[in-house]
Amino acid sequence: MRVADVSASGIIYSVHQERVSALVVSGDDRRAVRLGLTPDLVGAADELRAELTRTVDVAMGRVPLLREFMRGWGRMLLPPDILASPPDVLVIVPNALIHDLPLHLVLTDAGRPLGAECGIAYCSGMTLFASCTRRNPARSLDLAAWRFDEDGAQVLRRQLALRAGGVDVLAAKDDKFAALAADLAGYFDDERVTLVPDPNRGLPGGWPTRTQVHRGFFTAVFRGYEESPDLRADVVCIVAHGDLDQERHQLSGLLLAAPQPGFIHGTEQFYLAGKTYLRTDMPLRIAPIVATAASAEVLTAAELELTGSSDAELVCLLGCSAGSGRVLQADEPASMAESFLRLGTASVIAPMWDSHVSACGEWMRCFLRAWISDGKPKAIAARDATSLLMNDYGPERAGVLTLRGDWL
Amino acid sequence: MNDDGPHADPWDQLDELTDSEVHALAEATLSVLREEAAGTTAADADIPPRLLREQLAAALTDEGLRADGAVVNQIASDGEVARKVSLAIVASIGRDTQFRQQIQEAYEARRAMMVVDGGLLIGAALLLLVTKLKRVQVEKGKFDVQFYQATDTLIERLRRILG
Repeated sequence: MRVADVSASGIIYSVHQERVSALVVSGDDRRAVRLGLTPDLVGAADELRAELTRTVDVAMGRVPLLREFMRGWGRMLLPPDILASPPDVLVIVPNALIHDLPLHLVLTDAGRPLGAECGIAYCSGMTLFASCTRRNPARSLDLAAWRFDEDGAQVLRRQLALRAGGVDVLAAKDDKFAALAADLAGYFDDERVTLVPDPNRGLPGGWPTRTQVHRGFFTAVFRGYEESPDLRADVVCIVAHGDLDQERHQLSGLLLAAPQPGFIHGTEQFYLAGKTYLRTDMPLRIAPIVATAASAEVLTAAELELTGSSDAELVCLLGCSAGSGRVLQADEPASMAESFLRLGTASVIAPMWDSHVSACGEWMRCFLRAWISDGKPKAIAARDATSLLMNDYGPERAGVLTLRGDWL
Repeated sequence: MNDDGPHADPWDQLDELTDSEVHALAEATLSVLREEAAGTTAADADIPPRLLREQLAAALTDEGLRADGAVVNQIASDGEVARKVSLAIVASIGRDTQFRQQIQEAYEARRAMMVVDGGLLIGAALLLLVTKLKRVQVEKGKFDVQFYQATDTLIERLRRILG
């Protein structure tokens, strides 16, 4: 199949006082559709979000409201023709209460989750989506010549530079996050991979190489790549615990290793209101845990937004709830995933709620096999991963990772 | 810690658990009790922090404990007190072998998630739920007499912890 022949549609939601409506865009066709009644949806959406924040219930697969949403009221939020015959790719632009609803898990008429039948990319706004597509390096490829086969025959192979790291700050040994990052790096060309902890530079047993997985590494990737081409990344992958600050979302972040308590990674200049300031590169907040195996520090959304930028094609944030967040003013959802899109990343993969490490790893392996090895567009690779995991897991695990930003 | 393999039984080493593990165990206990109490008003989940503090103060006062704002704040904000309270509840509930097994399963599943602990409020939420459940009608068939005896013992322990 040629990428140029992929059928892509978009649903742009608009939530009004009485009803949810949407503009469905498919090629040159534009049509408005009337969907569910807003008052009927508000309470149910709130309860579903609450259910998905209960970590233990999600871990145990006790998600009755999610299942009810998938087969019931969630279907009122999608146009009937999409549910009857999904396109190859669907871009979803939510609004108001639709943000963070897992529309990719709504069952189609065939009884399968939508995200297992078509490639789905979420984007919080049309302007952001336009930015993501404009800066996506994949868009500069010849889409007419870019072919992929549904049977997995590889046609396009791209040389992508990966900067990846994983650390479980709660683990005393056998760090599965580091192992997962190393495993995912195997899908990329060795010479273009920077992996922390570096298995070739650590002490026997892997400890204390994990201390390489600190904020400084990733902030350098997101700040220093313009001066230091070695840090440039096509793909960034971070495997770490996530910490969601419900009250101050910009202080949500990922928990990385600290070289030592209070370590200063350096100083940096930044510009604000026409003036230059110097700041020490220290965490904006302390880590929310104590008595862990390793000192931990937080890489927050706020500090990335303050001084970071990114021209990466894809950032994978494999940490709990890195993709969920409260909707702020002007319909802007606050989450780590959203921050990375606004920094300049073309696409982000992040969990919508708390995620399970094994299922996350399996989903990512399926995704990378389809995207890197089989040359499929990201959204279609995500569809393959969700579809495969639905065979073995419940929706709370198979559907936790989603693609945001550009679908290609 | 975050694999799916077997782990040491937390019940054998409650006092040695890290704060993070205590929070995870409290979260698991909270989840199991909510599941057991499903359909009763006690199972109402996700109370905002401020309301949680108010309801907890009222519930503890009803149990004859000194529970002014300072005491409730200690339970919700002081790591040491929150740990003691959580462990007291978990240990009491865990005397029931059925609960113990369910909590253990939830705890292990919780540890396989890529998230850190749920914070100090978990202990307060758990305490509120236990005090509410104490008043759930036995006729509901959800909780047996052993549970009520356990909560009575627990209240006594809390009295000592909270002073």
